[in-house]
Amino acid sequence: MELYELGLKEAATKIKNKEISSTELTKSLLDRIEARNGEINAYVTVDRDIALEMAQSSDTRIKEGNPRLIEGVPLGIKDLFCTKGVRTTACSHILDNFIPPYESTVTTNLWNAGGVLLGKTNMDEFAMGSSNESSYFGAVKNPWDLSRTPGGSSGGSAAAVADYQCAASTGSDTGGSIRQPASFTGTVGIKPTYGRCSRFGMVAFASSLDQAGAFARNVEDAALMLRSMSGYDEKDSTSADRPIENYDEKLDQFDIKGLKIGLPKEYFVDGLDPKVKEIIDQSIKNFTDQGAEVVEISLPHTKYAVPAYYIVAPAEAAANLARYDGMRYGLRVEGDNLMDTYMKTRTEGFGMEVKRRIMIGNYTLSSGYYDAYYTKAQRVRALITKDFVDAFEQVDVIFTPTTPTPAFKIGGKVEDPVQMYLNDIFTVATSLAGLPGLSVPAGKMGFEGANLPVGLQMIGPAFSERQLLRTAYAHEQMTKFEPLKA
Amino acid sequence: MSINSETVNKLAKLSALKVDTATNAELCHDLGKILDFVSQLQEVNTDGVEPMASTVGSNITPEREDKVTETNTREALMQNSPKEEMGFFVVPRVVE
Repeated sequence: MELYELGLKEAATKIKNKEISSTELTKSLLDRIEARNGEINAYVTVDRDIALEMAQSSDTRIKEGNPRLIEGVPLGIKDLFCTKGVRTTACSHILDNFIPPYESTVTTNLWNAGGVLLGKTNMDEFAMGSSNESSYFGAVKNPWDLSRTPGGSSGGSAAAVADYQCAASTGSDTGGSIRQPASFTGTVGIKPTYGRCSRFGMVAFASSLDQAGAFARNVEDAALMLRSMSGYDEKDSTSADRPIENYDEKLDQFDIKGLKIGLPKEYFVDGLDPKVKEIIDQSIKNFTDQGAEVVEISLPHTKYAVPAYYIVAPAEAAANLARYDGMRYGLRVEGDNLMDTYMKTRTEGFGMEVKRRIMIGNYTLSSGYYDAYYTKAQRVRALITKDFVDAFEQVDVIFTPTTPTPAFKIGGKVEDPVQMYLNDIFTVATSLAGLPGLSVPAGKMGFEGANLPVGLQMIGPAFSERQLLRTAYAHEQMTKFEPLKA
Repeated sequence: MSINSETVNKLAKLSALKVDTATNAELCHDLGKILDFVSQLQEVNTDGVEPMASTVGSNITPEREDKVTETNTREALMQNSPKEEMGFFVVPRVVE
Protein backbone atom coordinates (compact mmCIF):
# COMPACT_ATOMS: atom_id res chain seq x y z
CA MET A 1 0.00 0.00 0.00
CA GLU A 2 1.27 3.44 -0.94
CA LEU A 3 1.18 6.36 1.47
CA TYR A 4 -1.12 8.37 -0.81
CA GLU A 5 -3.83 5.73 -0.28
CA LEU A 6 -4.20 6.55 3.41
CA GLY A 7 -7.43 8.09 4.62
CA LEU A 8 -7.56 11.29 6.69
CA LYS A 9 -7.95 9.72 10.15
CA GLU A 10 -5.57 6.88 9.28
CA ALA A 11 -2.87 9.28 8.10
CA ALA A 12 -3.30 11.64 11.06
CA THR A 13 -2.98 8.70 13.46
CA LYS A 14 0.15 7.35 11.76
CA ILE A 15 1.76 10.78 11.78
CA LYS A 16 0.89 11.29 15.42
CA ASN A 17 2.36 7.87 16.28
CA LYS A 18 5.49 8.77 14.29
CA GLU A 19 5.02 5.78 11.97
CA ILE A 20 5.28 8.15 9.02
CA SER A 21 6.17 11.81 8.68
CA SER A 22 4.03 14.50 7.16
CA THR A 23 6.85 15.25 4.73
CA GLU A 24 6.86 11.63 3.46
CA LEU A 25 3.10 11.64 3.03
CA THR A 26 3.10 15.05 1.34
CA LYS A 27 5.82 13.97 -1.10
CA SER A 28 3.91 10.79 -1.90
CA LEU A 29 0.77 12.80 -2.71
CA LEU A 30 2.65 15.45 -4.70
CA ASP A 31 4.17 12.66 -6.82
CA ARG A 32 0.76 11.05 -7.24
CA ILE A 33 -0.66 14.38 -8.44
CA GLU A 34 2.25 14.87 -10.82
CA ALA A 35 1.65 11.43 -12.29
CA ARG A 36 -2.13 11.73 -12.55
CA ASN A 37 -3.05 15.37 -13.03
CA GLY A 38 -2.34 15.44 -16.76
CA GLU A 39 -5.11 12.88 -17.16
CA ILE A 40 -7.65 13.86 -14.47
CA ASN A 41 -7.08 17.65 -14.29
CA ALA A 42 -8.31 17.77 -10.68
CA TYR A 43 -5.81 20.43 -9.59
CA VAL A 44 -5.31 23.87 -11.11
CA THR A 45 -2.56 25.05 -8.74
CA VAL A 46 -0.04 22.93 -6.83
CA ASP A 47 2.69 24.68 -4.87
CA ARG A 48 5.23 22.06 -3.87
CA ASP A 49 7.31 24.44 -1.80
CA ILE A 50 4.43 25.66 0.32
CA ALA A 51 3.12 22.11 0.82
CA LEU A 52 6.51 20.83 1.93
CA GLU A 53 7.07 23.86 4.15
CA MET A 54 3.75 23.24 5.92
CA ALA A 55 4.56 19.52 6.19
CA GLN A 56 7.93 20.37 7.72
CA SER A 57 6.32 22.56 10.36
CA SER A 58 3.88 19.75 11.17
CA ASP A 59 6.78 17.36 11.59
CA THR A 60 8.41 19.83 13.96
CA ARG A 61 5.22 19.99 15.99
CA ILE A 62 5.08 16.20 16.17
CA LYS A 63 8.67 16.13 17.36
CA GLU A 64 7.74 18.64 20.06
CA GLY A 65 4.87 16.38 21.10
CA ASN A 66 2.25 18.92 20.22
CA PRO A 67 0.03 17.48 17.47
CA ARG A 68 -3.35 18.93 16.53
CA LEU A 69 -6.49 17.23 15.17
CA ILE A 70 -5.33 16.46 11.62
CA GLU A 71 -1.67 17.29 12.04
CA GLY A 72 0.37 16.90 8.88
CA VAL A 73 -2.32 15.62 6.51
CA PRO A 74 -2.32 17.28 3.07
CA LEU A 75 -5.67 18.48 1.77
CA GLY A 76 -7.17 19.56 -1.55
CA ILE A 77 -8.81 22.99 -1.42
CA LYS A 78 -11.46 24.05 -3.91
CA ASP A 79 -10.16 27.02 -5.85
CA LEU A 80 -12.77 29.39 -4.45
CA PHE A 81 -11.35 29.43 -0.92
CA CYS A 82 -8.90 32.32 -0.67
CA THR A 83 -5.47 31.08 0.34
CA LYS A 84 -3.04 33.79 1.34
CA GLY A 85 -0.20 34.06 -1.14
CA VAL A 86 -1.50 31.18 -3.29
CA ARG A 87 -3.36 31.91 -6.52
CA THR A 88 -7.13 31.68 -6.16
CA THR A 89 -9.23 32.02 -9.31
CA ALA A 90 -12.61 30.29 -8.85
CA CYS A 91 -11.49 28.89 -12.21
CA SER A 92 -12.42 32.11 -13.96
CA HIS A 93 -10.25 33.99 -16.43
CA ILE A 94 -11.34 37.20 -14.71
CA LEU A 95 -9.44 36.16 -11.55
CA ASP A 96 -6.48 34.76 -13.50
CA ASN A 97 -3.62 36.03 -11.44
CA PHE A 98 -5.39 36.83 -8.21
CA ILE A 99 -3.16 36.21 -5.19
CA PRO A 100 -5.30 36.71 -2.07
CA PRO A 101 -3.76 38.93 0.60
CA TYR A 102 -5.84 37.08 3.20
CA GLU A 103 -6.95 33.57 4.13
CA SER A 104 -10.53 32.25 4.15
CA THR A 105 -11.86 31.23 7.56
CA VAL A 106 -12.49 27.63 6.44
CA THR A 107 -8.86 27.17 5.38
CA THR A 108 -7.61 29.09 8.44
CA ASN A 109 -9.49 26.56 10.58
CA LEU A 110 -7.96 23.67 8.64
CA TRP A 111 -4.41 25.00 9.01
CA ASN A 112 -5.06 25.63 12.71
CA ALA A 113 -6.04 21.96 12.97
CA GLY A 114 -2.72 20.97 11.40
CA GLY A 115 -3.77 20.52 7.76
CA VAL A 116 -1.31 20.97 4.90
CA LEU A 117 -2.24 22.81 1.69
CA LEU A 118 -1.60 20.35 -1.12
CA GLY A 119 -3.16 22.33 -3.94
CA LYS A 120 -6.21 24.14 -5.32
CA THR A 121 -8.79 22.01 -7.04
CA ASN A 122 -10.58 22.56 -10.33
CA MET A 123 -14.24 23.62 -10.39
CA ASP A 124 -16.89 25.09 -12.61
CA GLU A 125 -16.27 28.80 -13.15
CA PHE A 126 -17.56 30.61 -10.03
CA ALA A 127 -19.15 27.27 -9.05
CA MET A 128 -21.73 27.68 -11.81
CA GLY A 129 -22.20 24.28 -13.34
CA SER A 130 -22.91 20.62 -12.70
CA SER A 131 -20.18 19.01 -14.78
CA ASN A 132 -16.98 21.01 -14.25
CA GLU A 133 -17.04 21.88 -17.95
CA SER A 134 -17.33 25.63 -17.39
CA SER A 135 -13.87 25.83 -15.76
CA TYR A 136 -11.44 28.17 -17.50
CA PHE A 137 -8.84 25.44 -16.94
CA GLY A 138 -10.79 22.73 -18.74
CA ALA A 139 -13.04 19.91 -17.61
CA VAL A 140 -12.09 17.42 -14.89
CA LYS A 141 -12.29 13.75 -15.81
CA ASN A 142 -14.05 11.18 -13.71
CA PRO A 143 -11.49 8.63 -12.47
CA TRP A 144 -14.13 5.87 -12.84
CA ASP A 145 -14.37 6.53 -16.59
CA LEU A 146 -12.29 9.22 -18.21
CA SER A 147 -14.94 10.02 -20.82
CA ARG A 148 -17.31 11.14 -18.07
CA THR A 149 -17.69 14.16 -15.84
CA PRO A 150 -17.03 13.88 -12.09
CA GLY A 151 -19.95 16.28 -11.64
CA GLY A 152 -19.77 19.85 -10.50
CA SER A 153 -19.17 22.36 -9.41
CA SER A 154 -16.70 20.78 -6.94
CA GLY A 155 -15.58 18.27 -9.60
CA GLY A 156 -11.86 18.65 -8.94
CA SER A 157 -12.25 18.13 -5.19
CA ALA A 158 -14.35 14.99 -5.73
CA ALA A 159 -12.08 13.53 -8.41
CA ALA A 160 -8.94 14.24 -6.35
CA VAL A 161 -10.37 12.28 -3.40
CA ALA A 162 -11.64 9.39 -5.56
CA ASP A 163 -8.29 9.17 -7.36
CA TYR A 164 -6.17 9.20 -4.17
CA GLN A 165 -4.71 12.61 -4.95
CA CYS A 166 -5.67 13.70 -1.42
CA ALA A 167 -7.40 12.04 1.53
CA ALA A 168 -9.98 14.79 1.92
CA SER A 169 -10.89 18.07 0.28
CA THR A 170 -13.10 21.09 0.70
CA GLY A 171 -16.03 21.80 -1.54
CA SER A 172 -18.82 24.31 -1.68
CA ASP A 173 -22.45 23.57 -2.35
CA THR A 174 -24.91 26.17 -3.63
CA GLY A 175 -27.43 23.82 -5.24
CA GLY A 176 -25.78 20.41 -5.06
CA SER A 177 -22.14 21.11 -5.89
CA ILE A 178 -20.82 18.76 -3.20
CA ARG A 179 -23.46 16.03 -3.16
CA GLN A 180 -23.75 15.50 -6.93
CA PRO A 181 -19.98 15.12 -7.53
CA ALA A 182 -19.73 12.86 -4.47
CA SER A 183 -22.40 10.65 -6.01
CA PHE A 184 -20.66 10.63 -9.42
CA THR A 185 -17.26 9.69 -7.97
CA GLY A 186 -18.23 7.18 -5.26
CA THR A 187 -17.07 9.46 -2.46
CA VAL A 188 -18.72 10.85 0.67
CA GLY A 189 -19.72 14.50 0.41
CA ILE A 190 -21.39 16.57 3.10
CA LYS A 191 -22.96 19.99 2.82
CA PRO A 192 -23.72 21.15 6.35
CA THR A 193 -26.50 23.48 7.45
CA TYR A 194 -26.23 26.98 5.99
CA GLY A 195 -24.14 28.96 8.47
CA ARG A 196 -22.20 26.00 9.89
CA CYS A 197 -19.05 26.99 7.95
CA SER A 198 -18.01 30.58 7.49
CA ARG A 199 -18.26 32.11 4.04
CA PHE A 200 -15.50 34.63 4.79
CA GLY A 201 -12.88 34.42 2.06
CA MET A 202 -14.98 32.11 -0.09
CA VAL A 203 -15.50 33.59 -3.57
CA ALA A 204 -19.22 34.42 -3.61
CA PHE A 205 -21.72 32.94 -6.05
CA ALA A 206 -25.16 33.10 -4.37
CA SER A 207 -24.68 34.33 -0.83
CA SER A 208 -27.93 33.02 0.70
CA LEU A 209 -27.13 29.50 -0.57
CA ASP A 210 -23.33 29.11 -0.64
CA GLN A 211 -22.09 26.72 2.02
CA ALA A 212 -18.73 25.02 2.42
CA GLY A 213 -18.45 21.30 3.04
CA ALA A 214 -16.18 18.30 2.72
CA PHE A 215 -15.27 15.27 0.61
CA ALA A 216 -13.57 12.09 1.80
CA ARG A 217 -13.46 8.39 0.96
CA ASN A 218 -15.34 7.36 4.08
CA VAL A 219 -17.85 8.82 6.53
CA GLU A 220 -15.47 9.10 9.46
CA ASP A 221 -13.00 11.14 7.41
CA ALA A 222 -15.75 13.40 6.09
CA ALA A 223 -16.90 13.94 9.69
CA LEU A 224 -13.37 14.74 10.83
CA MET A 225 -12.87 17.12 7.93
CA LEU A 226 -16.14 18.92 8.69
CA ARG A 227 -15.22 19.21 12.34
CA SER A 228 -11.86 20.73 11.36
CA MET A 229 -13.29 23.37 9.05
CA SER A 230 -16.56 24.48 10.66
CA GLY A 231 -17.34 26.95 13.42
CA TYR A 232 -18.66 30.38 14.21
CA ASP A 233 -16.92 33.33 12.62
CA GLU A 234 -17.61 36.94 13.46
CA LYS A 235 -16.42 37.88 9.97
CA ASP A 236 -19.54 36.22 8.49
CA SER A 237 -22.76 37.65 9.88
CA THR A 238 -24.70 34.61 8.65
CA SER A 239 -22.43 32.13 10.36
CA ALA A 240 -24.09 30.17 13.16
CA ASP A 241 -23.02 30.93 16.71
CA ARG A 242 -23.02 27.33 17.89
CA PRO A 243 -20.21 25.23 19.31
CA ILE A 244 -18.29 22.89 17.00
CA GLU A 245 -19.30 19.28 17.46
CA ASN A 246 -16.94 16.32 17.42
CA TYR A 247 -18.71 14.78 14.46
CA ASP A 248 -16.13 12.03 14.00
CA GLU A 249 -16.49 10.63 17.51
CA LYS A 250 -18.84 7.83 18.56
CA LEU A 251 -20.10 7.39 15.03
CA ASP A 252 -21.13 3.83 15.84
CA GLN A 253 -23.21 4.81 18.86
CA PHE A 254 -26.40 4.92 16.94
CA ASP A 255 -29.50 2.83 17.21
CA ILE A 256 -31.15 2.17 13.87
CA LYS A 257 -34.13 0.59 15.61
CA GLY A 258 -36.97 3.07 15.59
CA LEU A 259 -35.27 5.47 13.17
CA LYS A 260 -37.95 7.08 11.04
CA ILE A 261 -36.84 7.41 7.43
CA GLY A 262 -38.91 9.64 5.17
CA LEU A 263 -39.18 8.79 1.49
CA PRO A 264 -40.57 11.77 -0.42
CA LYS A 265 -42.79 10.41 -3.18
CA GLU A 266 -41.84 13.36 -5.42
CA TYR A 267 -38.26 12.10 -5.58
CA PHE A 268 -39.11 8.62 -6.81
CA VAL A 269 -40.55 9.58 -10.17
CA ASP A 270 -40.10 9.38 -13.93
CA GLY A 271 -36.61 10.16 -15.06
CA LEU A 272 -35.11 8.25 -12.16
CA ASP A 273 -33.10 5.39 -13.64
CA PRO A 274 -34.69 2.08 -12.46
CA LYS A 275 -31.27 0.70 -11.57
CA VAL A 276 -30.57 3.74 -9.39
CA LYS A 277 -33.89 3.08 -7.67
CA GLU A 278 -32.98 -0.56 -7.12
CA ILE A 279 -29.74 0.44 -5.38
CA ILE A 280 -31.50 3.02 -3.18
CA ASP A 281 -34.23 0.47 -2.33
CA GLN A 282 -31.54 -1.95 -1.17
CA SER A 283 -30.04 0.74 1.10
CA ILE A 284 -33.47 1.39 2.58
CA LYS A 285 -34.02 -2.33 3.09
CA ASN A 286 -30.75 -2.58 5.00
CA PHE A 287 -32.13 -0.04 7.43
CA THR A 288 -35.59 -1.58 7.76
CA ASP A 289 -33.99 -5.00 8.36
CA GLN A 290 -32.36 -3.42 11.40
CA GLY A 291 -35.63 -2.04 12.70
CA ALA A 292 -35.91 1.35 11.01
CA GLU A 293 -39.33 2.51 9.99
CA VAL A 294 -40.12 3.88 6.53
CA VAL A 295 -42.65 6.66 6.18
CA GLU A 296 -43.85 7.85 2.80
CA ILE A 297 -43.88 11.62 2.91
CA SER A 298 -44.72 14.38 0.49
CA LEU A 299 -42.67 17.47 -0.27
CA PRO A 300 -45.32 18.94 -2.56
CA HIS A 301 -43.29 21.87 -3.93
CA THR A 302 -40.33 19.74 -5.04
CA LYS A 303 -41.13 20.29 -8.70
CA TYR A 304 -40.61 24.03 -8.27
CA ALA A 305 -37.26 23.83 -6.53
CA VAL A 306 -35.12 23.91 -9.67
CA PRO A 307 -36.99 26.85 -11.27
CA ALA A 308 -36.96 28.78 -7.96
CA TYR A 309 -33.26 28.10 -7.60
CA TYR A 310 -32.54 29.30 -11.14
CA ILE A 311 -34.11 32.64 -10.27
CA VAL A 312 -32.68 33.12 -6.79
CA ALA A 313 -29.12 31.96 -7.54
CA PRO A 314 -28.57 33.97 -10.76
CA ALA A 315 -30.07 37.09 -9.16
CA GLU A 316 -27.62 36.86 -6.27
CA ALA A 317 -24.83 36.01 -8.71
CA ALA A 318 -25.56 39.06 -10.88
CA ALA A 319 -25.19 41.25 -7.80
CA ASN A 320 -22.09 39.46 -6.46
CA LEU A 321 -20.28 39.41 -9.78
CA ALA A 322 -20.81 43.12 -10.39
CA ARG A 323 -17.60 43.63 -8.40
CA TYR A 324 -15.46 42.29 -11.24
CA ASP A 325 -14.67 45.48 -13.09
CA GLY A 326 -10.96 45.12 -13.82
CA MET A 327 -9.96 48.09 -11.68
CA ARG A 328 -8.37 46.77 -8.48
CA TYR A 329 -7.54 43.11 -9.12
CA GLY A 330 -7.89 40.39 -11.70
CA LEU A 331 -8.05 40.75 -15.45
CA ARG A 332 -8.25 44.17 -17.11
CA VAL A 333 -8.77 44.63 -20.83
CA GLU A 334 -8.19 48.28 -21.71
CA GLY A 335 -10.94 49.98 -23.72
CA ASP A 336 -11.61 53.44 -25.12
CA ASN A 337 -13.09 54.74 -21.87
CA LEU A 338 -14.15 53.56 -18.42
CA MET A 339 -17.38 51.82 -19.52
CA ASP A 340 -15.64 50.26 -22.49
CA THR A 341 -12.92 48.91 -20.20
CA TYR A 342 -15.54 47.43 -17.85
CA MET A 343 -17.32 45.77 -20.74
CA LYS A 344 -14.24 44.44 -22.50
CA THR A 345 -12.87 43.09 -19.22
CA ARG A 346 -16.08 41.30 -18.29
CA THR A 347 -16.75 40.04 -21.81
CA GLU A 348 -13.32 38.46 -22.05
CA GLY A 349 -13.09 37.47 -18.38
CA PHE A 350 -16.37 35.56 -17.93
CA GLY A 351 -17.31 32.31 -19.64
CA MET A 352 -20.64 31.71 -21.36
CA GLU A 353 -22.49 30.04 -18.47
CA VAL A 354 -21.51 32.84 -16.10
CA LYS A 355 -22.68 35.45 -18.64
CA ARG A 356 -26.00 33.66 -19.07
CA ARG A 357 -26.58 33.64 -15.33
CA ILE A 358 -25.63 37.30 -14.88
CA MET A 359 -28.05 38.25 -17.64
CA ILE A 360 -30.86 36.08 -16.26
CA GLY A 361 -30.23 37.61 -12.86
CA ASN A 362 -30.38 41.12 -14.22
CA TYR A 363 -33.56 40.24 -16.10
CA THR A 364 -35.39 38.91 -13.05
CA LEU A 365 -34.17 41.81 -10.92
CA SER A 366 -35.13 44.54 -13.38
CA SER A 367 -38.10 46.77 -12.70
CA GLY A 368 -41.30 45.35 -14.08
CA TYR A 369 -40.07 41.75 -13.65
CA TYR A 370 -38.81 41.87 -10.08
CA ASP A 371 -42.08 40.87 -8.42
CA ALA A 372 -43.11 38.34 -11.05
CA TYR A 373 -39.79 36.51 -10.92
CA TYR A 374 -37.56 37.33 -7.99
CA THR A 375 -40.12 37.93 -5.24
CA LYS A 376 -42.20 35.04 -6.55
CA ALA A 377 -39.19 32.73 -6.32
CA GLN A 378 -38.55 33.87 -2.76
CA ARG A 379 -42.15 33.04 -1.84
CA VAL A 380 -41.80 29.60 -3.42
CA ARG A 381 -38.56 29.18 -1.47
CA ALA A 382 -40.55 29.75 1.72
CA LEU A 383 -43.03 27.03 0.67
CA ILE A 384 -40.23 24.59 -0.15
CA THR A 385 -38.69 25.23 3.27
CA LYS A 386 -42.05 24.69 4.96
CA ASP A 387 -42.41 21.34 3.18
CA PHE A 388 -39.26 20.19 4.97
CA VAL A 389 -40.31 21.62 8.33
CA ASP A 390 -43.60 19.69 8.08
CA ALA A 391 -41.80 16.51 7.00
CA PHE A 392 -39.39 16.61 9.93
CA GLU A 393 -42.34 16.58 12.29
CA GLN A 394 -42.95 13.03 11.10
CA VAL A 395 -39.48 11.67 10.33
CA ASP A 396 -35.87 11.86 11.57
CA VAL A 397 -34.13 11.77 8.22
CA ILE A 398 -35.05 11.83 4.54
CA PHE A 399 -33.50 9.41 2.04
CA THR A 400 -33.45 10.12 -1.70
CA PRO A 401 -31.22 9.30 -4.64
CA THR A 402 -28.55 12.02 -4.98
CA THR A 403 -28.91 12.18 -8.75
CA PRO A 404 -31.37 10.66 -11.25
CA THR A 405 -28.55 8.87 -13.15
CA PRO A 406 -24.86 8.09 -12.66
CA ALA A 407 -22.15 10.30 -14.20
CA PHE A 408 -22.92 11.44 -17.73
CA LYS A 409 -20.44 11.96 -20.53
CA ILE A 410 -18.35 15.08 -20.88
CA GLY A 411 -20.11 17.15 -23.53
CA GLY A 412 -23.35 15.26 -22.94
CA LYS A 413 -25.48 18.10 -21.61
CA VAL A 414 -23.45 21.18 -22.33
CA GLU A 415 -25.57 22.23 -25.31
CA ASP A 416 -28.77 22.59 -23.33
CA PRO A 417 -28.61 24.71 -20.16
CA VAL A 418 -32.02 23.55 -18.92
CA GLN A 419 -31.04 19.84 -19.19
CA MET A 420 -27.88 20.66 -17.23
CA TYR A 421 -29.95 22.46 -14.57
CA LEU A 422 -32.24 19.44 -14.16
CA ASN A 423 -29.29 17.45 -12.96
CA ASP A 424 -29.70 19.29 -9.65
CA ILE A 425 -33.29 18.14 -9.28
CA PHE A 426 -32.73 16.12 -6.07
CA THR A 427 -30.26 18.49 -4.41
CA VAL A 428 -31.44 22.10 -4.85
CA ALA A 429 -34.46 21.97 -2.52
CA THR A 430 -32.18 21.18 0.44
CA SER A 431 -30.00 24.16 -0.45
CA LEU A 432 -32.97 26.52 -0.73
CA ALA A 433 -34.09 25.38 2.73
CA GLY A 434 -30.53 25.69 4.10
CA LEU A 435 -30.60 22.12 5.45
CA PRO A 436 -27.71 19.70 5.83
CA GLY A 437 -27.41 16.97 3.22
CA LEU A 438 -24.87 14.38 2.37
CA SER A 439 -24.24 11.80 -0.29
CA VAL A 440 -22.82 8.37 0.49
CA PRO A 441 -21.92 5.66 -2.02
CA ALA A 442 -24.78 3.14 -2.16
CA GLY A 443 -23.67 0.84 -4.95
CA LYS A 444 -22.55 0.55 -8.54
CA MET A 445 -24.46 -0.04 -11.73
CA GLY A 446 -23.89 -0.63 -15.41
CA PHE A 447 -24.67 2.54 -17.33
CA GLU A 448 -23.97 3.12 -21.02
CA GLY A 449 -21.32 0.42 -20.94
CA ALA A 450 -19.53 1.66 -17.82
CA ASN A 451 -19.64 0.50 -14.20
CA LEU A 452 -20.40 3.61 -12.16
CA PRO A 453 -21.10 4.56 -8.54
CA VAL A 454 -24.51 5.69 -7.30
CA GLY A 455 -25.03 7.89 -4.25
CA LEU A 456 -27.72 7.92 -1.59
CA GLN A 457 -28.67 11.37 -0.31
CA MET A 458 -29.57 11.85 3.35
CA ILE A 459 -31.21 15.10 4.42
CA GLY A 460 -31.72 16.14 8.04
CA PRO A 461 -33.21 19.00 10.04
CA ALA A 462 -31.06 22.12 10.56
CA PHE A 463 -27.86 21.42 12.52
CA SER A 464 -28.46 17.66 12.66
CA GLU A 465 -25.04 16.91 11.10
CA ARG A 466 -24.09 14.63 13.94
CA GLN A 467 -27.16 12.43 13.56
CA LEU A 468 -26.82 12.54 9.77
CA LEU A 469 -23.20 11.40 9.86
CA ARG A 470 -24.06 8.57 12.25
CA THR A 471 -26.83 7.45 9.93
CA ALA A 472 -24.37 7.60 7.03
CA TYR A 473 -21.83 5.62 9.04
CA ALA A 474 -24.40 2.91 9.74
CA HIS A 475 -25.18 2.83 6.01
CA GLU A 476 -21.50 2.52 5.19
CA GLN A 477 -21.11 -0.46 7.54
CA MET A 478 -24.05 -2.27 5.93
CA THR A 479 -23.26 -1.40 2.31
CA LYS A 480 -19.61 -2.40 2.02
CA PHE A 481 -19.15 -0.24 -1.07
CA GLU A 482 -15.88 -0.96 -2.77
CA PRO A 483 -14.12 2.26 -3.76
CA LEU A 484 -12.01 2.74 -6.83
CA LYS A 485 -8.63 1.01 -6.63
CA ALA A 486 -5.59 3.26 -6.60
CA MET B 1 -41.13 32.84 -23.98
CA SER B 2 -39.20 34.54 -26.70
CA ILE B 3 -36.55 37.06 -25.92
CA ASN B 4 -35.72 39.41 -28.77
CA SER B 5 -32.31 40.73 -29.68
CA GLU B 6 -33.19 44.16 -28.35
CA THR B 7 -33.87 42.70 -24.88
CA VAL B 8 -30.61 40.77 -25.03
CA ASN B 9 -28.76 43.98 -25.86
CA LYS B 10 -30.44 45.77 -22.98
CA LEU B 11 -29.53 42.95 -20.57
CA ALA B 12 -25.97 42.93 -21.88
CA LYS B 13 -25.72 46.65 -21.16
CA LEU B 14 -27.14 46.20 -17.65
CA SER B 15 -24.59 43.43 -17.12
CA ALA B 16 -21.69 45.44 -18.58
CA LEU B 17 -21.12 42.79 -21.24
CA LYS B 18 -20.60 43.06 -24.98
CA VAL B 19 -22.66 40.75 -27.16
CA ASP B 20 -21.89 40.26 -30.85
CA THR B 21 -24.52 39.27 -33.41
CA ALA B 22 -23.87 35.52 -33.30
CA THR B 23 -23.86 35.47 -29.49
CA ASN B 24 -26.99 37.59 -29.44
CA ALA B 25 -28.88 34.96 -31.45
CA GLU B 26 -27.61 32.20 -29.18
CA LEU B 27 -28.64 34.15 -26.08
CA CYS B 28 -32.12 34.89 -27.47
CA HIS B 29 -32.58 31.13 -27.67
CA ASP B 30 -30.91 30.13 -24.38
CA LEU B 31 -32.32 32.90 -22.19
CA GLY B 32 -35.78 32.34 -23.68
CA LYS B 33 -35.57 28.68 -22.82
CA ILE B 34 -34.39 29.36 -19.27
CA LEU B 35 -37.12 31.96 -18.71
CA ASP B 36 -39.73 29.53 -20.05
CA PHE B 37 -38.49 26.97 -17.58
CA VAL B 38 -38.50 29.25 -14.54
CA SER B 39 -41.91 30.67 -15.48
CA GLN B 40 -43.46 27.46 -14.14
CA LEU B 41 -43.43 29.24 -10.80
CA GLN B 42 -46.39 31.34 -11.91
CA GLU B 43 -48.68 28.33 -11.36
CA VAL B 44 -47.82 28.14 -7.63
CA ASN B 45 -50.30 29.74 -5.27
CA THR B 46 -48.22 31.98 -3.01
CA ASP B 47 -51.02 34.11 -1.58
CA GLY B 48 -50.13 35.22 1.91
CA VAL B 49 -46.64 33.71 1.75
CA GLU B 50 -43.84 36.03 2.84
CA PRO B 51 -40.80 36.14 0.52
CA MET B 52 -37.82 34.35 2.05
CA ALA B 53 -34.48 36.02 1.45
CA SER B 54 -32.40 33.92 3.80
CA THR B 55 -32.62 30.80 5.91
CA VAL B 56 -30.98 32.68 8.77
CA GLY B 57 -33.44 34.57 10.98
CA SER B 58 -32.45 38.24 11.08
CA ASN B 59 -33.02 38.29 14.84
CA ILE B 60 -29.98 36.13 15.46
CA THR B 61 -27.51 38.12 13.39
CA PRO B 62 -24.87 39.24 15.86
CA GLU B 63 -23.11 42.58 15.86
CA ARG B 64 -19.38 42.73 16.29
CA GLU B 65 -17.58 45.26 18.39
CA ASP B 66 -16.76 48.42 16.46
CA LYS B 67 -13.00 48.38 16.59
CA VAL B 68 -10.16 48.40 14.08
CA THR B 69 -8.93 44.89 13.30
CA GLU B 70 -7.05 45.39 10.04
CA THR B 71 -3.52 46.63 9.91
CA ASN B 72 -2.17 48.49 6.90
CA THR B 73 -2.09 45.91 4.10
CA ARG B 74 -1.77 48.38 1.26
CA GLU B 75 1.23 46.75 -0.31
CA ALA B 76 -0.34 43.30 -0.32
CA LEU B 77 -3.55 44.68 -1.78
CA MET B 78 -1.76 46.61 -4.50
CA GLN B 79 0.01 43.46 -5.63
CA ASN B 80 -3.12 42.40 -7.48
CA SER B 81 -3.63 45.75 -9.15
CA PRO B 82 -3.76 45.48 -12.96
CA LYS B 83 -2.18 48.95 -13.19
CA GLU B 84 -0.46 50.82 -10.40
CA GLU B 85 1.51 54.01 -9.97
CA MET B 86 3.09 55.27 -6.74
CA GLY B 87 0.82 53.05 -4.64
CA PHE B 88 -2.38 54.14 -6.40
CA PHE B 89 -4.74 52.27 -8.71
CA VAL B 90 -4.57 53.70 -12.21
CA VAL B 91 -8.02 53.71 -13.83
CA PRO B 92 -9.36 55.08 -17.11
CA ARG B 93 -10.39 58.73 -17.08
CA VAL B 94 -13.69 58.98 -15.21
CA VAL B 95 -14.64 62.61 -15.86
CA GLU B 96 -14.98 63.49 -19.52
